[in-house]
Amino acid sequence: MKNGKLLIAPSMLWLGIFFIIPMLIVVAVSFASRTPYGQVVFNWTVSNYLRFLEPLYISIFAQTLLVALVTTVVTILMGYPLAYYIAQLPKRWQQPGLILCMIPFWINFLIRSYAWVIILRAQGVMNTLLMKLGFIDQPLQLLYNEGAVMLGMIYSLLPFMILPIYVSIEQLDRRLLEAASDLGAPPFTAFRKITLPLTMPGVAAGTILVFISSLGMFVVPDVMGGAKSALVGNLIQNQFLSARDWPFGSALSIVLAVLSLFLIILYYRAIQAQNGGAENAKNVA
Amino acid sequence: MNELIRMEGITKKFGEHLIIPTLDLTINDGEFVTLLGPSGCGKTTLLRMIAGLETPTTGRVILDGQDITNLPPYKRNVNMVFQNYALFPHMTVTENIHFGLKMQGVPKEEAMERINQVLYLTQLEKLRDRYPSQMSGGQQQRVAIARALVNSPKVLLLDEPLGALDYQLRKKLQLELKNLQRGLGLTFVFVTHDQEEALTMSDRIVIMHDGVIQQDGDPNGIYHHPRNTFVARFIGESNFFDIGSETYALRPEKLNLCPEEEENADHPEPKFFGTVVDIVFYGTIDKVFIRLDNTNQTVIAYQYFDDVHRWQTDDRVGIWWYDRDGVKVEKE
Repeated sequence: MKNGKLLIAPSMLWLGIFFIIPMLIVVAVSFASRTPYGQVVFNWTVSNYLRFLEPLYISIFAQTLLVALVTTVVTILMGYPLAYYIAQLPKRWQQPGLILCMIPFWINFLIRSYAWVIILRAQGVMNTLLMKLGFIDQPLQLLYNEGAVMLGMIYSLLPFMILPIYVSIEQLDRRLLEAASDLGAPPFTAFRKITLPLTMPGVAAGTILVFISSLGMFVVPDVMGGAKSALVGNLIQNQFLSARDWPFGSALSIVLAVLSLFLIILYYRAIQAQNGGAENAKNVA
Repeated sequence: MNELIRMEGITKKFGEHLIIPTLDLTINDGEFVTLLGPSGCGKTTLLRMIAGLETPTTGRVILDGQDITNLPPYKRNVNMVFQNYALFPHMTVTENIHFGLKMQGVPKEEAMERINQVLYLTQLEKLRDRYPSQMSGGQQQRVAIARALVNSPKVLLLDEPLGALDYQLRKKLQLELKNLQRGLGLTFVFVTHDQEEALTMSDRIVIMHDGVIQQDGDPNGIYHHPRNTFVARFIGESNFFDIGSETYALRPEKLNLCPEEEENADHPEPKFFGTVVDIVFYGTIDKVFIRLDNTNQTVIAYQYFDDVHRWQTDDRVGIWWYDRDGVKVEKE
């Protein structure tokens, strides 16, 4: 056993140096202030956190939460049926199905975002097509608004919803559905009473992945949202890069992290309360 | 007895694979029928056809006078106890049992009454709020039976329900199940590959092999009058002797041994001679393995602990039996 524990030493060391220590540095910097030239001065103040309470920043946070929430809900609604469909395919078609969902990831994220710009901009593919077909006389404003940001987020995060849901559906014991049918449940009822509750752990995992990722996302709003729709991610990025206000940026990061953690705990509680058997389901398998 | 299930001209193909060539089977009301056979003989497929979980390639399934061949499982008034119970892991015992009644739209009050009844019947009253994962195999098994019984099905189908349990518990539940079936007067169709289980529990045993019914009869008849070598081999232990162009099956307990040279014997002449090659202790009996002269065949006889003569390895013996004990069987 003693030797076994030594085996985790490298990864603990790695996590310590590259994760925990930087994290602590961020916490420390969030209580510091800065000189006019951007130098960090450790004078232990909470002014950065107080500054966050200004209406401007609160509303950016609220906006971010809303976008993240909508993104999560839409990816669940789109991802569940797709994951279900893939899990029902014959075994040899399931792997290719999943790979098709993953293929966009082989291309750099930034490039994919710009590809959307080419599709959606005023002289872009979409507008040109619609005008040629005579549906519209002048280009629609498809880019640089909230809708575009939402579209970009859903597009890029959908696979993170599909994968965990697929896994939970694939692991579901089909005999339970036979039992439900035997006990008089038509297919849709069996889905509602058996499949759905038992695949909630997959939905929960996907929700957390998508929600957290969309809270911190800044590339999509940057490229597709223009100047108008700043989210927390952009705000933090700006503090570190253009405004050179590291202490405020750090404070914002900490608030974001704590908020996410809090929401996840709430969410898990809700899922467990609604679906007390999820834990038991795992034990049986 | 009234006919309850009739399966007519059933065949089943999975792809190119012919599982059941052609089969007819009738099951009567109130019978405990066991489908017995080695794995892959088609017994479970047959059971699933009654449940509606498989459709026959050709043929008809008739339940209580109604053709149910193409009726989906959820529209059939039969219930199944699955091999691994298939209990809903996110529901308590009560919720599991309530499921079928909810689907039928039974009012809450009546449902609770019926649930309490089956909980009492299966001795699960104290476990009603447990989740399946918090129960032992034997308890889960009872829940599976209760969940099926509560719907008052016309037939209860049981797919190797005791297969996953240890020997002692299996013995106990075999008796419980049998008593339950007698008490309720319900029709049970039971699938197993365990011949001992089949013999102790059934009113009637249907022995299957390669999708074909080998023999269909009461346990006593099947044990004492196997129709062919497959049945004789599958049920209990059998020795086969070729005499002329005919084959006779003899249970080890019907074989008698005598010394090779014997004077004034008061029993029939030995029909075969051989050498004892091994003696194995089995508790109530010893199994004596004898290699026959001429053929290289080994046969088994029993010797009981109070037998006067104790045989030893390498003894020369004669083998005799009463003519009434030799059963003429068809070769497979």
